[in-house]
Amino acid sequence: MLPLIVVPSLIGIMLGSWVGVPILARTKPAIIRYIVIILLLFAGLRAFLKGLGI
Amino acid sequence: MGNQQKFLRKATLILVLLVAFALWIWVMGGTALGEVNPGGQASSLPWWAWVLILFVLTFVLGIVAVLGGVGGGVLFVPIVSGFFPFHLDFVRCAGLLVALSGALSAGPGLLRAGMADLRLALPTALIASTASIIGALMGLALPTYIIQISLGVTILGIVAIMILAKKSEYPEVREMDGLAQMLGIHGIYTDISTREEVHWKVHRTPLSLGHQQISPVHHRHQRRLDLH
Repeated sequence: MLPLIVVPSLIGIMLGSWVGVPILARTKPAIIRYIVIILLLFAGLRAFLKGLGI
Repeated sequence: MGNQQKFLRKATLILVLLVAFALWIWVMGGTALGEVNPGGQASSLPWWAWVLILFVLTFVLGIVAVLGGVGGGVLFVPIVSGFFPFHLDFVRCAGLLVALSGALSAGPGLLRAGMADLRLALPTALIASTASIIGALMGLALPTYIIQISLGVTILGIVAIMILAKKSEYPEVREMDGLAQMLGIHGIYTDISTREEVHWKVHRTPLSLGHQQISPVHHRHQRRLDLH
């Protein structure tokens, strides 16, 4: 089952990163910081709640 | 190479990748692998629907991973394991492969641009890679829910540090320590958004190297070149 998860993930991440590079060039570091904080907060809460079975 | 040529080359590569991906789905449908539904036997969606949903999600993750510089692994594992009915073992294994391929593809470009530095990365990578063997063994022995809680707490801890840290966009380092001077850990890069040259150096090197501790959660998910 691993290829069914790995193959779409790798292609998706690769294409996404190609699209992300030109956006990165136009974005200021302060805005990127806020984006990272929001994303990590979301991912961290999701993992924590899943671990607690919520 | 002109801009138009670069664009055409990239567009061709994207097209080839998408065609290869479509062919892969078509071929997989006729094999034993296609009969395994990643969503489980009770899933109402066919196996290829999970593959396509995952592709769209990881595409968005790829964009934000570049913006945030957090790599595929840190976001991939908590988000995919939180929203998809896949077993954590498969997700964390896929997360490692995503992080590895992300680091390999982004590494050369970042090194050329001066955004990543081998002198900075090598000591931390050496310690982290060595300690990660013990961390991985500990992680495999722990129950899944402990791993997920620990992952959540670790990521939330990083968020707290990021919120509390002042001047994190351009950290202010007054004086380098002896070890950093000996190893020559300093450099210059051009910030592509502001077009300004940024001179960077590090301090508290022995303390930060000591912090590459044996963490079962961290070492299972993330190996990347650190920017700061």
